Amino acid sequence: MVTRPRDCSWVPHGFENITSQDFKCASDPENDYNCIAWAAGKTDTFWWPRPLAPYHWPHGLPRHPLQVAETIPNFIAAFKTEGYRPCRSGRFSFRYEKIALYVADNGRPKHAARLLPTGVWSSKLGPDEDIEHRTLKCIEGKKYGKVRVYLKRKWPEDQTPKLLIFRSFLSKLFGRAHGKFSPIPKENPTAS
Amino acid sequence: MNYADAIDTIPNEMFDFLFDYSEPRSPVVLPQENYAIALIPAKEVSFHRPTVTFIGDARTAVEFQQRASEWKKDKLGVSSLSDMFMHPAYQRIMALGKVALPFILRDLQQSGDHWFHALRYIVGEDVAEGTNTVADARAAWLEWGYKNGHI
Repeated sequence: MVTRPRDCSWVPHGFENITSQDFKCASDPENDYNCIAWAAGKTDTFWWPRPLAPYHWPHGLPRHPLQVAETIPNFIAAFKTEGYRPCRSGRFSFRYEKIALYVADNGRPKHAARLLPTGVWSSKLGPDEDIEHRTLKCIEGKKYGKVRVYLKRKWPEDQTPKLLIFRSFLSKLFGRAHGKFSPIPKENPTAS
Repeated sequence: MNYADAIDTIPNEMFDFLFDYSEPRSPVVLPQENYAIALIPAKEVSFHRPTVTFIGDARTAVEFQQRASEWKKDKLGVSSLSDMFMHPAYQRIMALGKVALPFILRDLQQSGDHWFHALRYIVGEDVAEGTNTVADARAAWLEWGYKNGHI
């Protein structure tokens, strides 16, 4: 693994609808996984339909040709292998974790973001940094297109928002607001 | 040109520079000579030499550096492999062919970037076939590069 220092200063220049107040830099850049893998909860493989090692795509789904592989149905099918199914909105839910799929005007999927238990969206920006952003709109635009599909699945038992909020409450109660039990960001979202 | 062939063509006065076992550096184009030189860590290659020197054509080095910087800047935040690989600068590097291999492999070693498509295109086979992670594919290509004298 090759690591690089975290630097999200490029983000406001890379997306026309985002300001430094809209997001928080959440990780170092890493080439080993991308937004689709991150949305599916994986951090060890790079998910994209391509017939080339080491890129991962769920078994049985098309990796080529482009007109078949890079389509909304193929990406939905990939997320279905992880238990997701399409839903109506990206509104926060205590019962379901959600994904938003960004699609370009030509119908090709470009990006996916994941809704965190804290109610903010998390995006792995290609092979670069993860950011937490307040809205889905702030990274819509030329690079990723618009959100066209939402998907949902039930939260794993040990990661439900209610449980995390309860843990956070306990942490604060015992004066450990920023301790290991707290899933809530310490500060307002800012670029680092 | 691999390491063994290239080393024979180097004028004597350049040897001091070439065998300076200092920290890794960016490719250097020597004045009046048509060589591009870089020293890279070689811990995985040899117990005896702290660095490996590779030599490529100076114009290729400059071309590679310019195109790779352009590509890296434009692909920030891009997840789509099609968008990454169809970028004009990436395509231009692929078109350089085998002379670009030392530079691509060196960048792969240092940055771990997504050069797998270019490598497969230039080499004509997927050396990393069967790997599932970027780290494993990188290791497979670097091992192939060492064995075949490209780095």
